[in-house]
Amino acid sequence: MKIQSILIVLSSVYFLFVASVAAQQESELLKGRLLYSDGRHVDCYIISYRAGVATYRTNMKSLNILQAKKPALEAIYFYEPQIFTDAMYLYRAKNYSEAKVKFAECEASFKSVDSLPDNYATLAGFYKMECSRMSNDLEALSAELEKYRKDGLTRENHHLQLELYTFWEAVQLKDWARIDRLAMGDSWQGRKVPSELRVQIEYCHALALDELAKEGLKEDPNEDSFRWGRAISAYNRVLSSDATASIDLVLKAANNLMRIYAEDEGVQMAIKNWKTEHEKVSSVGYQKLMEANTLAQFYKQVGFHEIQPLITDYEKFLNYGQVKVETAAVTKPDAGAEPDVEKAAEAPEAE
Amino acid sequence: MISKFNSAAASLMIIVMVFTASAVDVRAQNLQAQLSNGNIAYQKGDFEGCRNIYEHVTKTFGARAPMLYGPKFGVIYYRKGLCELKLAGEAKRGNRQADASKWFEEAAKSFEVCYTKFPNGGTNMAPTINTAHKTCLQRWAETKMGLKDYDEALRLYSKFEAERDSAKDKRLPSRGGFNINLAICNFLKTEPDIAEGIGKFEPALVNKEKWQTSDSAVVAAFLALSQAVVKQGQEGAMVDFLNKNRADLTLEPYQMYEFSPLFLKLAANALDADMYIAARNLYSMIPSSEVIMQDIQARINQLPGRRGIVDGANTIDVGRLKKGLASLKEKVSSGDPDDVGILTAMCFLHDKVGNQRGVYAGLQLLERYYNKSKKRETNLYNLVRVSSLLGLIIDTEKHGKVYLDNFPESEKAESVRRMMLSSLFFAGEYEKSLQVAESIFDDLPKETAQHDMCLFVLGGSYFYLGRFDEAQSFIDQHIAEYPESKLAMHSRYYQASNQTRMQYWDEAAELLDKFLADYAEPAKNIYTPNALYDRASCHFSASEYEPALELLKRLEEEFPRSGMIDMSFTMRGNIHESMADFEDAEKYYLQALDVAQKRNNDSVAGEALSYLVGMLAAQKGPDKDNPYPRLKDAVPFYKQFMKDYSATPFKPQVVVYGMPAMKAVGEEEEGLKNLQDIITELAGDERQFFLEESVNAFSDFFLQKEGNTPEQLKDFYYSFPGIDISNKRVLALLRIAIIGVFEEQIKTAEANEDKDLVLKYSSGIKALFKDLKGEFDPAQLTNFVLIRVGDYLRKKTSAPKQALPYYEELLNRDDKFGEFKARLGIADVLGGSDDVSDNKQAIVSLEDIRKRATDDELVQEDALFRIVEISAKIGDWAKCETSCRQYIDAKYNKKTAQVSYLFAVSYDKRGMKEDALFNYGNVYNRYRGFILISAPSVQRVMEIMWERNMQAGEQVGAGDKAIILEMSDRQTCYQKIGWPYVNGTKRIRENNPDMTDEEKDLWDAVAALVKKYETSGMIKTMEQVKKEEEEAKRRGRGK
Repeated sequence: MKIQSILIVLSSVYFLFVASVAAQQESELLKGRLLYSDGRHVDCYIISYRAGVATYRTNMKSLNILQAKKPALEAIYFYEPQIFTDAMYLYRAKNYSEAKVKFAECEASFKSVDSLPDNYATLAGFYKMECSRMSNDLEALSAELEKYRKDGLTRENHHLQLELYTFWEAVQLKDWARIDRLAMGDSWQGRKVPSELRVQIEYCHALALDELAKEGLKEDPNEDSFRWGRAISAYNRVLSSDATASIDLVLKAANNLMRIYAEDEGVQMAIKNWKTEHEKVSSVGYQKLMEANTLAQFYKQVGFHEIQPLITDYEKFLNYGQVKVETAAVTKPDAGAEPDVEKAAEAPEAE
Repeated sequence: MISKFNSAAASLMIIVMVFTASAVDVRAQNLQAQLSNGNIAYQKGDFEGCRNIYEHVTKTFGARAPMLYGPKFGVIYYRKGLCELKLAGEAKRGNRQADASKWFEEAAKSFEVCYTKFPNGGTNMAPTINTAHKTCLQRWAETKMGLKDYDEALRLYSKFEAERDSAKDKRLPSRGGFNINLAICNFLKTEPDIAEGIGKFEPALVNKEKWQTSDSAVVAAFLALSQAVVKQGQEGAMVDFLNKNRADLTLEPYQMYEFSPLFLKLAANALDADMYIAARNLYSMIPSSEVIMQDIQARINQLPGRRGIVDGANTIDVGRLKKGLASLKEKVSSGDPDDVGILTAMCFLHDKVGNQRGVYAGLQLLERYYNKSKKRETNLYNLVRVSSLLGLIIDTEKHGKVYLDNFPESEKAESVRRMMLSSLFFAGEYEKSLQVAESIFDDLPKETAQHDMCLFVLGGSYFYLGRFDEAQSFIDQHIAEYPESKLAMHSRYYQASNQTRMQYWDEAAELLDKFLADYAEPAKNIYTPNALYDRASCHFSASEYEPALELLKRLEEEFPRSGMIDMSFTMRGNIHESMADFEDAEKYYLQALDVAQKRNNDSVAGEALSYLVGMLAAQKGPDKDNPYPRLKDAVPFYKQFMKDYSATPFKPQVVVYGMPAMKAVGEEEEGLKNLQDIITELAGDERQFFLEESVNAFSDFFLQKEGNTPEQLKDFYYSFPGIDISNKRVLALLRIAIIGVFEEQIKTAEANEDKDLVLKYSSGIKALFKDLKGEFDPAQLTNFVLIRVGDYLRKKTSAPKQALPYYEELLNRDDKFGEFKARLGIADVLGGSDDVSDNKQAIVSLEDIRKRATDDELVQEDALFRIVEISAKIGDWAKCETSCRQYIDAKYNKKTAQVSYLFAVSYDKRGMKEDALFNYGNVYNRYRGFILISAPSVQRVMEIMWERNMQAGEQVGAGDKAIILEMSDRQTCYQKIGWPYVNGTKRIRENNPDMTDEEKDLWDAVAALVKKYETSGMIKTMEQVKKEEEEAKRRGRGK
């Protein structure tokens, strides 16, 4: 009886402690579903998870703090917290600064469960870094990456993105030769990378080749053609890599291409000699001018111009067109099945 | 989803309880059991089982249900309809369209029965309540949407809105979802109402949380909107909507997988409708297959062993996700995931504007990431094609090799090989294209496109590489075997131009005329200006200036922007200069310079400047005190050249021709320095074009400089700054230059009768040649030096055969400079051989040289003279006569005496005495002092006449040429020919120390013959003749 009293006292003390922690975090508790190995489940608010033990309460008002342990506890499903939903909305709306604030808040709020797979603290930390990358705050990205714990990430593409930050770090440091080595090295050349990531590799690589070509140009005006060609190709791959989903990178790539053409002496000469007796259709400069012209046409045709209008220097390329020559290299993609869109009708049925 | 399952189950339980409470008979108990079974089946997700139970219930009880159970029985039809809707949805996702339609129709019937046969408060019905009576209108509408009857669906939704009790009859599946369905119906009805649809869509988005609008519903509506705008051509409406609501329209990857095919389809429809902005946006919204699969897998892993979960407005259905994942994996492993279609579409968009670099980049990505695609062959082929179009020859080669390794039997393999070759060729990589073409040529079957291309590339590559001899046979073969080839025009031009380059001007002219006639339309013949230029070159080479100018004028008028125009101006300058029209020449050189500068054509600019320097420095004027009035005008051009164009190949000419001008303006030092530098520069070149001239000019101006001597020049040349001791051929050339200087010194010394100096320089020359022969291997010498050494050994030594290795070395080289001189040298040596067959061979060779060395008259003359000599030597007197006539007719003059003599001999040897006499007579009359030929001529005349022995009064010849002899032959040959000759040349015989023994012998023979006839007693001696003449004088007769 005495022992029993002691246990009751001890357990009361323990629960008081947990309750006090829970009280502090009440507003920040993550809603989850405890999935037991016998098929049962419990919807609850997770206070913490450590060493296979989940501490939770069944509703926000309950004073009872409960625990569930492995192996009886098979997994925990986290309902998407509102703050994460809001942050993702802002992120998708390209409002990266506000999104980052919310992701940071989300990351801090749910730190107590950040050892679990697919927890929203780790995911928020990941997207916080993505916000830094998207807004080109590469210094912040480096600092955030140093502190980041990736244990909760389960998707391979997220892990790949972390690896890919090496490229962005080199961009920040302007270590262009390193990017070239990285992009051409076996570690990336031999890998299947999703389009969302390959566009970044191509962009960083193009940027590096562009900068290296500029440096090379300073040293020897005749030495740039090789790197120039590689930069042009890489920038062009950016235009198609993820079908312009990364529109910010795509626009940068397209404008950098235009700049390369605009600064090219051969192109300037071809413009100067346009339709004069000195025009040399077979010259490299003329060919480049034609490339600039078709690129400017592409820019307008696919609507880039509506997002970021062409500057006058680039828009003038449109004046130097010749009869369009399609390569006939590409046929239209297969259309697939007829569209069938009434998905809303399949939503959950009436009560 | 689980909570919805629970709510559905609860709903069924209520139905069961309702029936349990009211049905008291056995049938009712049976109905209760069946409804309970249906409930269990529904809970298990066995919708077909559940539906079958309801089907059985409605068939068993339906007929009397209104009367027995009243309106509440309608709920069973409603539940049955729900099961049928579920089954329709499953069938649709499984792409079983027929089944889906069947279930939609069944569901529509169920909801219709629920609504029409079980209205609340109906007459003759039990007093129960059909709770689904209004709700079923929405479900009925959903079935109509499933059957794509959106107009009817809208009518049913309107009916629901009109009849519903707002407190009881909720909008389904949520207010947001309801609005979305209305939006979809408006977008997709027969006459889409986009504005009305957006009017329903936007509130569902704005109130997404509050109205519980699911993400998938949002995307479904957007797709319907896209379909409507594509149909109605209102791209802007969709793009605006998208830009405004992108965040709402972007789904998590796991939600997108079912929509991806629809996005693809709509995007393709947009492409078809030329709505490229819409298409690009639609494609951009589809995540990659890898990311979708990883997200789905993560979601499945989050719910181990569970059927799913409803998270906010989104339902995660694990079964559905697993099916989706399996289907995606299957697509990826097939090699053609949706990503391939998207990338292909991007290529298509680039191609629409002709952005080949964009197309190429897309194709690169396809090959890099999706090389198991069924379309790989096409993609690779296009990579080869587009890289070839872009001139990325290394890439063309790379992709071409991959293509041929993977698809060696493809019908396009030949085309790829052709592109690899043609890409290299048309990119100007002639060494490489030649290498590739040579490696495959022997294995190619004839009369194929590949053989056609290969043959063409072989000829063309050799042509552009300047290997004209080798080019010719391939070009000719290509034209002969593939007259219909697409490349025939190219080959025809190469064929004609190749002749020009080899300076076979007549053949070139003929071919060019035919080429220009056969391809007369300049629009179709890119070579027209080139051919005109080449044809003008032919005329120019034949000094046909007017026709050359005509062609160049045409070139200037019709092709003012041609790449040839600056070269055309240059040639016009050359022609005017040749016509001594220096004013026009200068004008055209300046025009050429101007155009070439504007085009950055350094080569032609440098060439024009070199001509200006050369012409102005050499242009003579009438003033004897100022013979070169334009000399100083050459200096600015000289300086311009040295500043801007000294890297062009014309530097040696400018430096050499401009040297007098530099000297004239007091810049002799700089001029000499430039000459010295150019000698050093050329010494290091593989082809040392103009080196001899540079060395000669340096020697000349070095010696012109006050205080400089030939000995100093010799010392300077023996250690020329910047020329390595191992550079034998240049060192040899410098020795030859010294020899040239010494030869000039000998001439001066001879004029000054300075025998010591003559001896000194002659010894010097001998020693230098000895050096050249001893210290230098023929292989180390330039062609020029080879000729000089060969000629020296041939002409000035007793063993002319020593010359052969020098000539043969030259003939083994690709550089044909001096070829005819070398061949002449060899023929000369062969002609001197004791072997008649060698001699005959020499004649054949010399005839060829004479025919081909059209630009070197001296060589032609020498060759012809040697033919005369050798044919005489072997006794081919007919050939000798012909060759002599050719020599005389050509008005050659170096060996006229010898030729005239041999001409006479040729008649003599064939017994044609009259002709012999006539021609011998000419020889000794014209060349009396030339003992070598005059003496034997006189001797033969005397012998022939002595033998003919005609008497005075007899007639010689016939017709107009007949003459009556005034004196007998014997007397004449003695008195009129022999004796005067001997007396007339006696002084030479006696006093000339240079007379050779051969000459002495020949003269002595004539003298002896004269003596012999004189003492024969058959004629009057000159003593007697003189006496008779004196007697006659005395008598008043005679002379």
